[in-house]
Amino acid sequence: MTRSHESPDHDVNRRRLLRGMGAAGVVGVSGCLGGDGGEGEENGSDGGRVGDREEQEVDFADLQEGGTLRIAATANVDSFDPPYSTDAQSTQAQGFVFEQLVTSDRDGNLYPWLAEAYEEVETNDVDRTVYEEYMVSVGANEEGVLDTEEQVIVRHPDDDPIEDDEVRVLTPEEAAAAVDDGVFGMQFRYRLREGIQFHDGEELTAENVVRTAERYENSDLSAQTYDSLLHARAVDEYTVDLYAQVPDAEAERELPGLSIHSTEQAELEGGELDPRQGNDPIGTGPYTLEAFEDEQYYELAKFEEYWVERAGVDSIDWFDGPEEYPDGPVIDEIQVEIVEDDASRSAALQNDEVDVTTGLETQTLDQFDDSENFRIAAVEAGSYDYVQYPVNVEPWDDARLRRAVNHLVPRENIAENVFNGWVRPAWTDIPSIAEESGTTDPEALEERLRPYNEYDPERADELIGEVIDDTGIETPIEVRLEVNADNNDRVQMLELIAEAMEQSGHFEASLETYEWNTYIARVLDPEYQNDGHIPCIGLSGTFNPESFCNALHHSENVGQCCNLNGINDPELDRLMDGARYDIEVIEDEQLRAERYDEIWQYLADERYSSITHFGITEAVMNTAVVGFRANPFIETLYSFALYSPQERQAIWLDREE
Amino acid sequence: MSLRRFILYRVLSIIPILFGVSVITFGLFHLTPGDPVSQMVALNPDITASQEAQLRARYELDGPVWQQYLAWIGNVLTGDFGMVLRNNRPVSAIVLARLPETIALGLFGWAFALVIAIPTGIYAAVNKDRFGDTVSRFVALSGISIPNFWLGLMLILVFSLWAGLWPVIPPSRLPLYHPRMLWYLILPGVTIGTAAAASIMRVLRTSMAEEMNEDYVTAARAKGLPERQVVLKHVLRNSLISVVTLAATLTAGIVAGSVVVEVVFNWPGLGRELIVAINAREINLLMAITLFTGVFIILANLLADVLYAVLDPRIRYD
Repeated sequence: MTRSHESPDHDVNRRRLLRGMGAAGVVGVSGCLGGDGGEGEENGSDGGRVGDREEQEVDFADLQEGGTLRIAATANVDSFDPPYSTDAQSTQAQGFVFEQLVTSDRDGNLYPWLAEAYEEVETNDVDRTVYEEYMVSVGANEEGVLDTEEQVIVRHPDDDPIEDDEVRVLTPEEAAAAVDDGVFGMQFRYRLREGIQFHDGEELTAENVVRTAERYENSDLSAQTYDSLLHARAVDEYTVDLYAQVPDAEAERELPGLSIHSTEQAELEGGELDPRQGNDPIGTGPYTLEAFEDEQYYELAKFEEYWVERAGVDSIDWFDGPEEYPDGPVIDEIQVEIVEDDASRSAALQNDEVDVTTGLETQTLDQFDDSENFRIAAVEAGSYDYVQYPVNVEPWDDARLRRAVNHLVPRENIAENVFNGWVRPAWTDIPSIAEESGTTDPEALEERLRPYNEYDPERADELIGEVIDDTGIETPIEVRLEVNADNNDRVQMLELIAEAMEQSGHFEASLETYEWNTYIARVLDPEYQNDGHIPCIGLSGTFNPESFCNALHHSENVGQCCNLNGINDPELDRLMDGARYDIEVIEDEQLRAERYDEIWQYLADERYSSITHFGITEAVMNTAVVGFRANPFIETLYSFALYSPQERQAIWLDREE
Repeated sequence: MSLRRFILYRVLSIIPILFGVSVITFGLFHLTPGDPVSQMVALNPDITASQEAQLRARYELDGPVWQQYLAWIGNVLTGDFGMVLRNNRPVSAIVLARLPETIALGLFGWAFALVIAIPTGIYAAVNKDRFGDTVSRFVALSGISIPNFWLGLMLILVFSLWAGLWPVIPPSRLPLYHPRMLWYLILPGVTIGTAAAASIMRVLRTSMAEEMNEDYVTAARAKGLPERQVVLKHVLRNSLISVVTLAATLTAGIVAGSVVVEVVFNWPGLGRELIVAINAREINLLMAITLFTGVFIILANLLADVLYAVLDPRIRYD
């Protein structure tokens, strides 16, 4: 089976219509609102103050070139080395400099980027045991540390490094041998654009992709990279194959997620690709790093030889934007100040010391939203908060009790009064960014599942009554809700839930807060599941629907992020694996969506966790910044806004406004 | 004991004190949950327990605490304070880069405190129980009571946002020794020095008010010395001994206050770095900052003791 990807599917879906995308002629749209502040209050919490925003129209004929964009970032850049950094601010900084083989729009549609085209060449119906004959045995100590310097690509599913003294693993050399023999899950072929230059003048070739993949071995990102990737191989100078370990519906998105390195920097030791180590990052991206002062600021300047600039945006075959759309970002310089304190960032923006910032509390957002001198660009993100029930401790092993408490979670109240309408209540377990693959019909799904998640004390009372009648448990049930103390919004949210539980008369609910590191260590302890508490945590999902169910519920994630209460439901595991790692769902996207619909229904019935709301990604800016639209992911917020032909997105500065 | 021997003795006593501080800090830090690896993997569903252990082994965080401490202290004795794990940078480079910023801020805070407190204290003592004294005592009490972070935010609100006299973010591209930095030091310096100024003023006022009733003051006045000379030459000098007693405590307060003030004003000093180190569980950085702070406070105490001798020759070092 072969699927080509010269350009993505351009079906107009519901969200595109809602956003008014694809306006004809030279008019694009921006997700910024001048601060009238009126809309949000009338909207209620369903659309929230984000979902129902009108979008500012921008005309690329008015575009102004040049200027310096001043950003206030929320934290220091820990590292400019892509495989050796996991924090959002580092990824954000790297996004100006590095690029990947593909890019995506705000709906998760993929577009060839450094690759001019890619295709799925072959898919084989295998599981990870197929590599058994290529595997080598390595020792494992009692903590599960493997006695090998090599990257473990695949561990034999029957071996447990903590239980066993030796485990069978597939390392890069054997992975290459397996591919030689035609043993692999999936093969994707990427044809690179010719003439793309790195900042040091080197031309991008297939070898850069291969060496980059090798540099991700045993890095801080190796776990997520080699979760899917089996092997990278150059076919010729401009063609590279990436192989997946097993049939994987997310492989198309996961495999090319490498920030491509220059040859020189692919040789650097881990963590050394950083100005603090004397190595300014070199990528193919639109900006070069000009200055960096640790924990204070960094500065970027436009890369004059940027490939889109040289070839013209019309050279990208899927681009169908207006004639006036620029051939690259138009802002000359970017100055990023590192300001960790929220109040200082907010004050700096008001004082015209910076043009744009993020990470402000919802109350502060309200103030900016009410001002005519500022705009807010916001979009629903993949972030979500959830509480999880102690399913292995009586009486919480009864799904009716969990469903009852779920009816006591005042989602609308939380969205309106804790988050001031900036977030959307989670009527289903899946946010809009993952609906494309995650459901056959978002509206029908919400219609079906919303009754399960409405605040309904009467229904809760009925369900608890049933549990009391059947099991004879005594009420009030004592329970402790737990949360990290440094997130005021989350603490307030738990207070509301605890109060609702208390008011039901069936619970004595207390709330305990912990310092972040203490809390994480506590809830990720495998023994935590036996304590009978209800923890609350926030996670960030992706376009992959799996990210909204797997981390919370898969038995593989007990004792690690983020199955905190030891949920071990083989049927649910089977459903989740079947929605991603099954050759049928790769060939039939509709079937995959149907399987996820089944999962959401299953979760509504079992209610192991209650997702409370979906967060937003937002940027607050002065009116000099024109055309800024937010991307669901904070990591790509600025690089996306500066220049994204796939969404006809570009920003410019109009200091006259 | 001579002054020289006393100083030598006190300098040598720094070693066991710092050793004790390092043991306690290292031990307490390891009693708190989390380390840089748990930070890295905390919310990453892709990391298995085995991979987490692998990372911990890579960063040498998997041994018992005493073993880690011995390794750390062994390195410190050779001048190696280790690396910051999250960005692979030498701790000593970070501390040396941040130390001048904190020292500048501390010195400015001290200067502000003395410039404000001494004249005000003298004025309040000379005008004891009059309106001016009452006002200055009220202001001093407010200065002690107002939390640093609140005062800092108020100063930003009034002088940066409303008056537009100072930027919210200090100009990070200017070197610290640039003359213009004096201007940018004013707001954080005032914030960090206010409580010290208030304390000094109150102590000085009380001390001077007591000294004013001493016989030698009456005698000086009887000899016909001008009041100004009596107050500034005799009374003030004797009263300053009480202020010096406070100095070490106030220095510790200024060092502690720098943590909050540097965060509020985005001032790139050791205080802000300490917060980063604690949140990121960067033990090497935390230990280095703790040791530097410890040395600084011990030296401040030593300086205070030496100043006693300068101000009051009757003091003996036993």
